[in-house]
Amino acid sequence: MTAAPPKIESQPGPAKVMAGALENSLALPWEPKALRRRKHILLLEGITVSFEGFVALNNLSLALREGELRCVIGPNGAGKTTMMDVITGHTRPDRGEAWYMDSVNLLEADEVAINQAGIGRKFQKPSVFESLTVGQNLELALKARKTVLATLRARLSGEERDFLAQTLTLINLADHRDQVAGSLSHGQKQWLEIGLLLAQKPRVLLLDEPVAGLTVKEIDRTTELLLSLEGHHSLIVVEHDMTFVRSIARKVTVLHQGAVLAEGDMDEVSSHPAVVEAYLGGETC
Amino acid sequence: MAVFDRGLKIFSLVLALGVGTIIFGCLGFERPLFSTLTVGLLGKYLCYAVLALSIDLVWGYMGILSLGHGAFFALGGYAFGMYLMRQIGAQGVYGDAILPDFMVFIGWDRLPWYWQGSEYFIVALLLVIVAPGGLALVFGWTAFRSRVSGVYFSIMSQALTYALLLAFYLNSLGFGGNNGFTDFKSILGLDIHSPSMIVSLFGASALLLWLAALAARVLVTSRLGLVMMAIRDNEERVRFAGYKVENVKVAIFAFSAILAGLGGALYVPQAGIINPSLFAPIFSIEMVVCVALGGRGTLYGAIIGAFVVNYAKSRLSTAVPDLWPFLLGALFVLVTVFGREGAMGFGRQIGRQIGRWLGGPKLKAPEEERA
Amino acid sequence: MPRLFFLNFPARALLLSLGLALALATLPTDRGLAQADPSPARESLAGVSQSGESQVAGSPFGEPQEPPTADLAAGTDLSAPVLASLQSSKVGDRDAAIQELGLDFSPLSSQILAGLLQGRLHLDRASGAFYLEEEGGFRLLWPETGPSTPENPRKVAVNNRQRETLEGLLNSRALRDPDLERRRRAAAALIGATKVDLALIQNLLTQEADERTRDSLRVIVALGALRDSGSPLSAKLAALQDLEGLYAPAAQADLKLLAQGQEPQLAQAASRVLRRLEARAQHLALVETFFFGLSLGSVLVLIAIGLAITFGVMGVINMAHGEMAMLGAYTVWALQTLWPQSPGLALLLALPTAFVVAGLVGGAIELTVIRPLYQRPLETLLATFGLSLILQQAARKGISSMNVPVTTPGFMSGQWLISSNFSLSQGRVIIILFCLLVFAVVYLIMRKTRLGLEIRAVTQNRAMARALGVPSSRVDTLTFALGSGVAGISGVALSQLTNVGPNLGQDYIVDSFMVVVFGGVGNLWGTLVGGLIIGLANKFLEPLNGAMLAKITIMVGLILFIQRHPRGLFPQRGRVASF
Repeated sequence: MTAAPPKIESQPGPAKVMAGALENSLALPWEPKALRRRKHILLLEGITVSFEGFVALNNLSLALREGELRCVIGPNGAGKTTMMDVITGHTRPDRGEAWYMDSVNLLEADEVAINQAGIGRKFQKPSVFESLTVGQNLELALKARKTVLATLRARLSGEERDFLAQTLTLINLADHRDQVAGSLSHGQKQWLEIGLLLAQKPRVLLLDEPVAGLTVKEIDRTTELLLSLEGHHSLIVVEHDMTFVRSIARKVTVLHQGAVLAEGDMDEVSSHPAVVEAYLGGETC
Repeated sequence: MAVFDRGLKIFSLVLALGVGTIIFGCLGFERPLFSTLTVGLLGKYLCYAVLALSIDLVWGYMGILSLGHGAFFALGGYAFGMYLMRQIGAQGVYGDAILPDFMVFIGWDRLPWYWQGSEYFIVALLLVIVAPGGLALVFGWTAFRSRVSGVYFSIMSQALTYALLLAFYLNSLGFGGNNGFTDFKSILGLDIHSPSMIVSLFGASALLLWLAALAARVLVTSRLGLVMMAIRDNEERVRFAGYKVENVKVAIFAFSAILAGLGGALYVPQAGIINPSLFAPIFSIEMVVCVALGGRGTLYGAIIGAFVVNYAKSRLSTAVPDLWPFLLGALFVLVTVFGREGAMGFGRQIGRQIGRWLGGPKLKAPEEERA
Repeated sequence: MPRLFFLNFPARALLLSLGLALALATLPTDRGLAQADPSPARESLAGVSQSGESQVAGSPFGEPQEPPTADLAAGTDLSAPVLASLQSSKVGDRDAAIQELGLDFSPLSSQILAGLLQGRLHLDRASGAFYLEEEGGFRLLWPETGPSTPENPRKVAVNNRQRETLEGLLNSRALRDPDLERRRRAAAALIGATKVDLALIQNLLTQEADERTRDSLRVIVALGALRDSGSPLSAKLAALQDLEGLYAPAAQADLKLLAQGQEPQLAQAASRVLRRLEARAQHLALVETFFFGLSLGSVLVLIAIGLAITFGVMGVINMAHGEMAMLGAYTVWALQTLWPQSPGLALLLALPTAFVVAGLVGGAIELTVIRPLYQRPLETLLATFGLSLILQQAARKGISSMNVPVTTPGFMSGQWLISSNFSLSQGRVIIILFCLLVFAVVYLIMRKTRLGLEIRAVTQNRAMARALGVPSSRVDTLTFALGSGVAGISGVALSQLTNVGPNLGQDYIVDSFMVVVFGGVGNLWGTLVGGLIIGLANKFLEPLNGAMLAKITIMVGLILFIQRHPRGLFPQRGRVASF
C-alpha cells in the first residue's frame, strides 16, 4: 500500500562532504541546476507560497549540504514554518522547485513518502504520543517497513532494542522508558520528539524551535545533542533563541518576509545591515 | 503487553464458565435449567458485545467515533438473513420454492441478481464478510483519504446509516422493506427452533466473541496497536513518523466492520427477525454508549457495557417503559460528563484502592509486564 | 477587494436565483388557467408525513367560490312559493326552484344554493323554515323569524345533476360579483364545468373589464364552440385561434381529440395549440418545482441556521438541536391553546416566546452538560443525544405521545395569486421570506453587534479574547443560547408545515447537520446556499424516481461530496475550521 521509499545510493562519504563544502564557497549563481541538485541533500529554488493574497514565501531558495547544521532565524511571520511545511509536503507551493537527494521531488511526493525517504520533522509545539510510553513512542517511530501488515507483524529485534536503548540515552530519557509520555516535562517532550526523529534514522532533520520553553540547563543539553548529530545527519534548526543559535550555528540563514535576507556565519549575519534593519527597524515602527 | 494478559485470561475463564453452565444446564438435564428464550436472549447479548467490541477498536483505540456501526451489523444480518429466507423454501406462506414470501407479495416473478447463490451457506458466509467489509472499505477510503475526521466523520457515518435506513425501507430494494426478514425455519436444513440449534447458536456467538476479543487483543498489542493509539493522540505526528495513516484507519475500520457484520449474522437467527430498524442511528449510538459505559479502549469494558445496557434495556423497557428513555438519556449524559473511563476505569480504581488497603504489592502497570 | 467579492458571491448567487424564480413565475402568467397541484409534497429529506397543503390555484373542477357572506339583507324579495317548491318531494319541483333561485341574485338565495351544494341546508319539517348547518349548530335562514334551532331538521338532498347545475349557477353568479378576486376565481372555476350557459358568458364578456377574467371567459366560450357539434368549421377554427393565445390546460383533452380528428385543417390547428399548451405546462411545472425546492430549502436553512451557530461557529455538536425546534413548535401549540380565538396572534407571539424558551433551555444545557466537555467534541455529541432522548420523552409524557393540533391562521393558509394561472401557497412564501429574514438578522448579529464580535473573537482565539477582557465563558453560554433560540424560532415555522409532536426534531437532525457541513462549517452564507441547493435538488429529483429515492440519492450525494470536499461548498480558510 505504501510507495516504496526511493532507493538511496552512493552516499557521499565524509571526504566528499568536505570537498562539497569547498565547492559551495565557490558556488556561482549561474551554476547548472542539475549540478546544484547533485551537490546538495536538500535544495529549494524559487519557492513561492501565498495564502489568499498573503505571500508567506517569496522566491525562497535554500541549499543544504550533507551533514550540515543550518540555523534559520527570522522574525515572526518570516516564513520559517511554512518553509518546513513545503519541505515535508504539508504545503504545496505556487511556484518553485524542491529536491531531496537529487532524486526525490518534494513537490510531488506526499508527507509519508517524504518522511520515509529520510526527512524527519519536529514540530513547533512538542508533539509526542501522550498516551504511549516513551519506549513505545520510539518503537513505533523505528525505521521499518510501515505498511499495515508489516506493522502488524513487527517485533523488536535485538538490534532494534539496542538502538532504542542508545537513542534513549542520547536524548537523556533512559530512566523514563516506561513512563507515559504525557507525564513528561516540557523539555523531556522536546527531547523525546527529537528521539522520535532519530529513531527513524533520517538523513535530514527539520527542528522547529527545539529549545522553546526550555530551562538553561535543558538548552545546554539540547545544544550538546544537536552538535553530536552534526556530520551524521543534515539539520535545519529554526530558532528564536539567539544565544542558542550562536552556540550551535556554523551557517545561519535569515528569513524575512518569505525570502532569504542574508546567509553566512553568525557574526556576518548579525552585522548585516539589512538584518539589523529587519530586526531593529521592524521593532521600532 | 502479551496477548494473553490477565484481562484476557479472566475474560476467557468467565466466558467459558458461563457458556459451559448454560450449555450444560440446557442439555444436561431432563428439565432444562434455562429456557430457550433465556439462551436466545443471552446469545443476542453476545452478538451485541461483538458489535460493541468492534466499535471500541475504532473509537477506543483510534479515536474514530463511528455513529453508523450498526449499519455493518445490520448488513451482516441481512446477508445471513438472505440465506435464512432461502432456507424457508416452499414452507413459506405462498409456498414458492424459490422466491421468499415478500417477493411474491410485491409481485416479483424471479430472484434479482444479487440474490443469486444466496441459498448456499458458504455464499452467505462470504457475503456476511464482504458486504460490511466492502462498504467499510469504500466509505472509509473515501472519508479518510480526504481526511474527514473527528465529528465530521461521526456525522458522515450517521448519514450513511440513515441513508441505508431509508433505502432498506424501500420494497423495491428487494430486502423485504419495512418488515425485513422473519419466519425463519432452518439453518443447514436443521430446525432453527430446536433447543440444540438454539444452544449451538449461543455457543457459536460465545466463540465468535472470544475470537473477536482475541483478535482485538492481538491487534492492540502489536506495533499496529501502538500506531492506532498514536493516531488517536496525534494523527499528524504519525504521518511524520512515516505511516500512511489512511491505510491504517481503513484497514482497522474494515476489520471492525467485518467483526460487526459477523455479530449481526449470528444475531439474526437468534432474534428471529431483521428489519431496517437496525440501521436507525439510535441503535448505533446506543451501542457507542455501551462502550463508553464500559470504558473505551479497554475491550472488556465494551463487552461489559453491551451486556449491562442491553440487559437493562430488555428489563426496564418492559418494566417501566415510560421511564426507560429518561434513564437511557441520563445514562448518555452521566457516562460522558462524569465517567470518562467507564466501568473499567472505575473497577481499576477500586482494585487499586483495595490493594492499598491490604497493603499488598502494588498492581503492576501493564507496561511493566512487557520487559 | 477579492475577499469582499468572495463573501458577496453567495449573496449574489442567491439574489440571482431568486430573481430568476420571480421572472419565471411572472413570465407565463398573462393568460389562461390554473393547474392542478402535482404532488402534495413533504417538507423534509427526513421523514414521515406532511400536510399536503401545497396547492397552486384553485382546485381543477367545480368547487365554486364561497358566496358572499354579507348580512342577509332584510326583506329580500324571495318569494315564498319558490322556497315552498324547494320543499316539495318531487324532483322536478326542486329543479324548478333551483332554476328560480338562480335568477335571483340576493345574498339569501346565494346562501341557499351554496348550502344545498355543500349539503348544509336543512329544512325544518314542522315550521317549513330553512336552516344552515354550521359548526356547532344551526342558523336560521328563512323566514326571518322563527325558532333559533329546528325541531326536526332534515337535510335537503340534491342529486348529481342538480349539483352540477348548482355549481354552474353559483359560479356564474359569482361572475357578477363586484369583488374582482371573486370574479377571477369563479371564471377560472367555470372552465372545468360541463354545463355552462354560453349565452350568459357571452353577455358577461361584453361587460367584463378585467383582463384575467376575460381570458377565462374566452376559454369557456372557445371550448363551448369546439364542443358544439353544430358550430361551423370557421367558428371552430376561430375558437382554436383564440385558444392559441390563451393558456388553457383544461382544453387539453378536447384538443387531443381534435388533433386526432378527421378534419385536417382542424387537426393541424389543434395540434399546434396543443404543442404550445404542453410547452407552457412544462414551463410552469419547472417554476413550480423551483418554488417547492426553495420552500423545502428554506425550511432546511431555518433549522440549520441555529446549528450553523452552535456547530459552525462554536464547534459544539448539539444533537438535541432538533428538540430545540420541537420546543418552539410546542410553544405555538401552547399559545394557541391559551388563546384559541386568535391563532394568528398566538403564532406571532410564539416567535419571541419560542426564542426565549429554547434559548433558556439551550443556555441551561450549555452550562450543565456542554461546558465540562468543551475539549471533547465526540462526548458532547453523545451527551446531547442523551438530552434529546430525555426531551423527546418529556414531550411524550408531559404533553402527549401523539401529535398536537396546531392551527394554521388565515394569512398562512391562503393562496397568493400571481396570475390567474399561477398562484403560490401563501404560507410557503411567507416561510421563504421568514427564512431570509432570520438569516439576515443572525448574519447582522454575528457581523455587526458586540456579541457577534465577541463570539468570533472567542472562536478564533479563546486565550487572546480572554486576555482582551472578553468573558469567554459567558460568550459561550450566550452563543449557545442564541443558536438554540433560533432553532426555537425555526420550530415555530415548522409548526405550520409539519406535524407537531415528539419526533419533530428527530426528523430533521441528520438533514440539518448535512446542510451545515455541506455549506461549509463556520460559514453562514454556506448554510444558506447549501440548504437551498439541497432543497432544490431534492424537489427536482423527486419527479424522476419518487420522494424516498430522491432523499436517498441526495443523502448519498452529500456524503460523497463532503468526502471529496470535507470543508464544504464554501470552506472557511485558516486554522479555525479544523477540528
